[in-house]
Formats: sequence, C-alpha cells, structure tokens
Amino acid sequence: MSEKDDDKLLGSAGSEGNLILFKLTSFKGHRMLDLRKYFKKKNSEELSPTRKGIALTQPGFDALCKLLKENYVEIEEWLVGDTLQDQVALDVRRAAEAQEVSRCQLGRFLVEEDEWRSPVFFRIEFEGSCTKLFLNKLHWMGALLLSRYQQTPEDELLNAFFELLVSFGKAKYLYQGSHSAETDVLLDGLMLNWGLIISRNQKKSPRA
Amino acid sequence: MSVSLVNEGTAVLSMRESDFDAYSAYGEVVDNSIQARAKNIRIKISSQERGGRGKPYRIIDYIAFGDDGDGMPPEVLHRCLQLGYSTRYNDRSGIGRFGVGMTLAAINQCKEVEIYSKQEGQPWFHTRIDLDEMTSSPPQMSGIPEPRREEPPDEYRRIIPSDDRGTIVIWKKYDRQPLSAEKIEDEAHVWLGRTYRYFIWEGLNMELNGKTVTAVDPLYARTQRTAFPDDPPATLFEEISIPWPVPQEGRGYGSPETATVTVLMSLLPEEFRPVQGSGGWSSNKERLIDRNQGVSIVRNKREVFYGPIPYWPGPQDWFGEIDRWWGCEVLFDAILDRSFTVKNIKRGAVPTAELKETLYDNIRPTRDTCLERVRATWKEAKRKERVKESGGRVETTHTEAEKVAQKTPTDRSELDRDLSFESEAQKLVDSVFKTHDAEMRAQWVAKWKEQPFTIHDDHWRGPEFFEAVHLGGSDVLRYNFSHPFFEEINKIVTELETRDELEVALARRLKVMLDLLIISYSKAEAKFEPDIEFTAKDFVENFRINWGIYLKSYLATWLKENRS
Repeated sequence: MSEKDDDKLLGSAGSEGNLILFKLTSFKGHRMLDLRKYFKKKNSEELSPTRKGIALTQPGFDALCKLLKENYVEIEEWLVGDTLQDQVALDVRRAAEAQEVSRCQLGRFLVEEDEWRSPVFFRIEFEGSCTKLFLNKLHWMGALLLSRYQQTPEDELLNAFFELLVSFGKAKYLYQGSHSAETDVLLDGLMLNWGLIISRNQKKSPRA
Repeated sequence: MSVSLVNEGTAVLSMRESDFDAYSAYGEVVDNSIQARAKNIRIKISSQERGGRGKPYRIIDYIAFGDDGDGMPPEVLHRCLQLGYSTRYNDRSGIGRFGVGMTLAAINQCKEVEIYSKQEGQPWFHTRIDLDEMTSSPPQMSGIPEPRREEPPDEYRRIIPSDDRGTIVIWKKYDRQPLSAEKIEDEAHVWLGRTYRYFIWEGLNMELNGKTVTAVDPLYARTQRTAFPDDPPATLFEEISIPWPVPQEGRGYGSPETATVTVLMSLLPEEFRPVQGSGGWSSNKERLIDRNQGVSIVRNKREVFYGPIPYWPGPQDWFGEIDRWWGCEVLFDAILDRSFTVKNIKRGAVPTAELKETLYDNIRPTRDTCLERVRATWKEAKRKERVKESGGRVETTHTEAEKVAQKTPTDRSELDRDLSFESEAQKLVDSVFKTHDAEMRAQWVAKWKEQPFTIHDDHWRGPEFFEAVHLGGSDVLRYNFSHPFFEEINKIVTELETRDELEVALARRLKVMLDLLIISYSKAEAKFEPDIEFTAKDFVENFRINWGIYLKSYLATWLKENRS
C-alpha cells in the first residue's frame, strides 16, 4: 500500500521493532480503517508498511466494533494469559467488580403501612435480601400511595415509583455513617449510586 | 550433595506448634468420621483428679474417638497418619482437603496416637505412632508401623457404636491441656454442637462422655435437636445471595466463573430480650445468648469460624453486647476457599478484604433494622414499667415540675382559648394511649384537666424532640425519647442516679430545670392569640421575652419551695 497525504494516523501500539499503526486511509475511492505492522528500513527513519495488516471498510469496522463490545472481557482474559501475576491481577479486578455489583443489588421489596409524625413520607428497612418500604399514612403522599396500592397493587407505574423510592433509600443508606465530605460531593455520590442501582436493577420484577 | 528439605525429627516436633486449639483439633478427627460416612460418633475424655496444692484439677489421661464409619483397609490405615496423605487430596467436595488435619491435630495435643479400624466383614487392624519413641536417641520407632490384626481392648470397645465396622482413634500422653478436663468437656459440647449442627440436623448422632451433643444454632432459628427444642424460633430473614468470582488458582476445566456466598440473618425472639440487660439472665446464658456476638462462617456445611471477624470494616461498636440479639451465618462452597483464606487446618477462615467489605455492605442494613427493633422493644418495656411503678395510677415522672407550674400564678393562655378541652383531650388520648383501656384513658383526661401542664415520656419517629399540645386551658407535653437529645439526657440522669446522695439530688434538680424550661416554652407559645399576625422579627422577640418571663416565675416558685 502506498502512503497518501490525506491518510490520517489515529494511533499506534507496540514498540519500534514491532509497531502497529492505526490509520484512516482510502484506496480507489474506498475509505478504510487500516491496522498494519510497520518497520523501519535500514539507514532510514522512515516507516514502511508490511503485508501484515488489514484494511476495514464500513461493514467490517461495524462488525469489529460489535464483536469487541460483546466479547471484551473474554478477549481480554484470553490475551492476559496464564502468568501468575496476571492471574492474581485478574482475581483482584474481578473481586472489585463483584463488590461493586453487590453494593448496587436490590432484592425484592414489600410495601407496608405505618404512621409517624414527620415531614418524611416513607422509610426503608432491610430484612436480609428483602427490603420493606414503609409509607407514612399520616403524610398526604404516603396516604395517597397506600390508597392507590390497595386498589391496584399490580399497577406498573406505581411499582416503578416504589422501586424509585427503594433505590433512593438504598443509595442513601450506602452513605450513612461514611466519613465526612463536602455536601456537593456527598450529593453527587448519592445521585451516582442512585443511578447505578436503578440501571443495574432494570426490568427486575420487584415483588414476589 | 543435596540435603533433604525436611529434617524429619525436628520437623515433627516443630509441627506440634501448629495453630490448633483443643476443640479444632478434636474437629479434625470428627471430620474424618463424617467423611467415612459415620452415623454415630462417640468421644470419651478420660481424666483423673490430681491433687496437690490448691483446688484439685482433672488431668486428661486419654481421649478416644469412636465411629461407625466405613473403616480403613490395612494399606490405608498404614498411611493415614502420614502427613500429607489423603485419599481425597485437594478434593473440595467434602470437609477435608489436604490430608494433614488429623495428624497435625493429634501431635499438637498429644504424643501418642493409636488407631483401630475395621471394615465390614474384615477383622480389626491397629497401628500407632509415639513421638517420644520417634525422637529418642537412637529412635525406637522409625516411620509408621505396618498395621497388625488386633482387637481393641474392652476399655475402647465401649466407645465403638458398632461391632461391624468403624474406627477408634486414641490420643495418649496428652500434654497440651489448656483447662481442667470438665471445663474442656463443657466447652467441647458447645463447639461440636455448633460446628457440626448441619450434620446433627441431618441425622448424625454424637456423644461426649455419654451425653448427647445437641445442635447449637447461632441463628436460633432451628430448634430441633438442640438443647431447647420447644423454644420459639428466631425470625429468619430472606437469604442474601452474593455471586463471587472463583479465584483462578485451583479452578479446573469446567469450573464455574462464580460461586454463591449465602448470608442468613435472624432476629432473636422478643421472649429472650424483653428488657435491656436480659442478656445476662441465667436462662439466656444457658442458651449461650450471652456469647452470641459474631458471625458463623460455614464451609460445605461445617463451621470453620465463629466470632467477630478480624479487621471488620465497621466502626468500633460492632459485635458489642447489643449484637447478641441478631444472628448471622455466611455459607460458602469449598470452591471459594481462597476467597475465605481457608487454611490446611480449617481454623480461622477469614474473608479477603474485598469480600469482607461486600459482606459488611450486605449485613449492615439488616443489623441496623435488628438493633432498631431491639431498642424499640426495650423502650416500650421501660414505658410500661413506669406505668406499673405508678401502681397504675396516672402519675408521670415529672410531678415536681408539674406541681411548680400549678402553684405559679400566670395569665391565661390565648392560643387555645376557643378550643373545647373535652374534644381536644379525647382526640389526644385516643391517639397517644391507644393501647390503654377506657378507664385509664379517662383518668388521664381528668389528670390533664386538673393541672395546667402534664409531661409524658414517649417515643416516636420524627425530628421533634418534644411536642406541646394545647387543649384549651391545659397543656400536654410529650418528650420524644427516641430523639438523641433525650437519649443523652436520660443517660446522664441515669448515671447520676446510681451515685451518691449529692449526685442523685443533682440529677433530680437537672430534670426539674429541664421540665420547667420546656413548660415555660409551652406557656410562651400559648400566649399568642391565634389570629394576630406578626413579622418574624417581632414574633421571635416577643416569644423570647415571654419565655424568659415565665421561666423566671416558675423558677422562683421552685426555689421558694426548695428553701422551705
């Protein structure tokens, strides 16, 4: 392949003796992404392409992106290989990921009625993997939700709202007792955790 | 010329210092019995009283373990005491794994080990090791002798559950006794009952010195085959399942990527914890509730750890006395040994740092729920006690301040001037004294009517630390003992009341001053006419002035009363 002036270098990988370049290029009117090994000729600073490479047009590029997205973990594990340190690093990483997933886990929940005098219309209590959402019937919002729930307990929108309350309660709980921080940092963290919990529990049936 | 990696003589002696305690050492023998499919296990701790100076002390002669398991053929019996030998090396499906447990356990505790074993239809075979003989100079025993046909003596036959098959392990020259034998026996009952509770529930029969070993459940949720089968069970919460990655090491072909860690939690019945301090009751001590502070970690149905987990992420107050009222069990399969740092002697399994944090995140919410419910029960009990102490009469614990307010002449309240006392009082008594009978409620209404202020100790959820209700001529003040302010005040007053006369008197004065402060607040609040509008500035200024005036009046009455 010959180099042209309008080729655009996107990036590279590897070292001088084993260099791969990623370029946007074109040939006979066909635009491509080129991934290729390059070498330095003797007594020259210029890089020359080898035959070891591939030029992807749009369909090939789309297929590659999809494949990488769907198999990222498996490919990475394969490439990481079996060295002892790699194994240990992988174990540590997987444990950290499992920890994060567990923090955002939301089991099933039950809705119950209670009453207390306070502006707060709901509270959350945890019983193992079951979370109890208590609605304050002395508060207008709590009374309204309870009344709707008693009429139509299977209402999807109502249950989605309950899940919102439960996930907020869980996100708030994750911050209880934690070390002090500035308010906006705490609130940002709360919003982030709340969002993570909701997204990780998407489409889960909340009640038995 | 190469040198052997292991100097056998000194290595064996140094292995005596492995990290066992007496009970975990016994557990290694029991594990083998269970793996050999024993249905009955009998343990005998034979001891003698030794006198000498001071109190007599029972010294262990020998410990014998008999089971009705499969027994061992001579070739296996020959090697079973060899360190590292196992017919199930690195097999994680059972309890054992490395083949070092029983021998290490035995030589940790004693210097001589004998084993008799019989398979069905075969004769008894016997072998033994003696560390003194092995390490004498020159050695009188080199290696483990080949098993010989030999019947167990009558003394040990009594331990065997069955004549058809089984194994007897005898530990002699017992020189590592930490306590008197009867204390070891008592503690061993508890340890064995808790460690093997799942096997006992599945039908395993175990006896120690003729007494049945009953299951000990740290959750108090299953009562069958325990020492108290008729007890009410604890409330068992829904299990928490935590998928956890299986470490690379030890993962064979076809091993799953993740395995499940299951957490079970329970809240002990209210019957055991009706009031604060009930943990020390003898009935609760019999049930080991006073020691129920920690987590039970169970591997392949066998407990491998019990107690507060070291370097727990939580704050210092975890695993305190109040934590005895909830139970927690963490169960895992042996495929996660690495994640629980299970060692070759199955003692002290502790989760890795990430797993520990994950367990903490999952256990903490339910623990908080449990503690809240325990405290709520105690508060309710205290409230009932206060009613009981007044002999069912309608007396509060604030009579001194109430009487001061009654004696102090003040102007009429305006805020509630248009309210009907009867209807307001009825509304209040129906809401606050729901559980009282009609007669008691009527008495309270009469009490409220006869004095300008009545103060009740109560507790409810909400940010207010007290509430003032104006009933149309009388005020009812309710203190929220769930609020941290009153929790602290109560602690201080209670502490002072346990000291000498001067401090008791100070506690009383502190309480009355606080009551008068709040009474005068309520009076100042009621001074405002309901329809008059103020700017915020004027309102606050007026309020503060009135508050100060009333407080001064009440204090003057109180001081005058105290001087006279």
